[in-house]
Amino acid sequence: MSGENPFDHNDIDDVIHGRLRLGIMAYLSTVSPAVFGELREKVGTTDGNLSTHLRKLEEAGYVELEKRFVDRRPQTRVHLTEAGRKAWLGWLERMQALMKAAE
Amino acid sequence: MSPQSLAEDLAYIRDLAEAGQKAPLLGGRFLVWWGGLTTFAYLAHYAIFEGMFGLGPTAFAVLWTGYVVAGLGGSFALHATIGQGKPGAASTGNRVSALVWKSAGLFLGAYFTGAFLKAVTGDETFNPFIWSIPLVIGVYGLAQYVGGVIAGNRVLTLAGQAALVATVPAVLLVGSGASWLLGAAVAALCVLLPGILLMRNEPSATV
Repeated sequence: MSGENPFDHNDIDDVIHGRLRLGIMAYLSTVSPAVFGELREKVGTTDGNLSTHLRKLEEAGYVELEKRFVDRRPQTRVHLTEAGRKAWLGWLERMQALMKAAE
Repeated sequence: MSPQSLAEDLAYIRDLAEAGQKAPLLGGRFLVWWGGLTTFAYLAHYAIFEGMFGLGPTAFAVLWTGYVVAGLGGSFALHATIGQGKPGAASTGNRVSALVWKSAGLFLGAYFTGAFLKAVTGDETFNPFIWSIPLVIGVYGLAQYVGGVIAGNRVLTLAGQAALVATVPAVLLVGSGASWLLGAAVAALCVLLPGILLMRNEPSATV
């Protein structure tokens, strides 16, 4: 466990711990739901790349995708789930412990 | 994972978290609508109060009935135009701002319903309408200040503070014609003007 060994990499959530997915989680932690295009612009990536990473987060149950029509145009909204928020806070705690131990 | 890459990752996610926290507020059109309407209504009330157009007391009833109808009708129409693809629509700032204004509206609605019922019953021991100006100004101040602080918007924060301070002269002027002019000035400077600035900074819709 991290309490015993703060440098143990097994405690780091791999689903979150990719740079783009970190960005997605960070933005959704303050704006949820976010529109797909809004998220794409904020994290600075392409539609395809964002879709790939969102699928991984969705499979882990960290985000939910909602598809709907607004003014007859399809729109995807991305929601941070409770499990996602918990995992995000867990990742932040893990990083905090790691940095503290490295000091 | 090197300390440098970790530090870069943390800086990156901090930027994104802040981008969400400081998302532009999207309620500018409502501030413009209600601020503009209230400015006009207070000025008109002042004009009637001072007998400028030779209008009798019934003009007050016509004015404020029109205000309520136009205000609510306009608000419903604006809800349809706000668009659901604006970036940051679900940010904490936008949620809190919408909620605080909704609460303010409900409170003022309840107050004026009570004031109207009191007037209908013919009870003249106290006139809630003339005391409404400091109350309205104070509520505007609270709503603007809370929205401004939560969203990190300096203009709204200052507008809220100014309106809260203006509550003092508003109480001192209660019952005089100048109180309606003060109400108009506060509505224009602390609600209408910030609303125009918010609208100018609104991002485009996205899908």
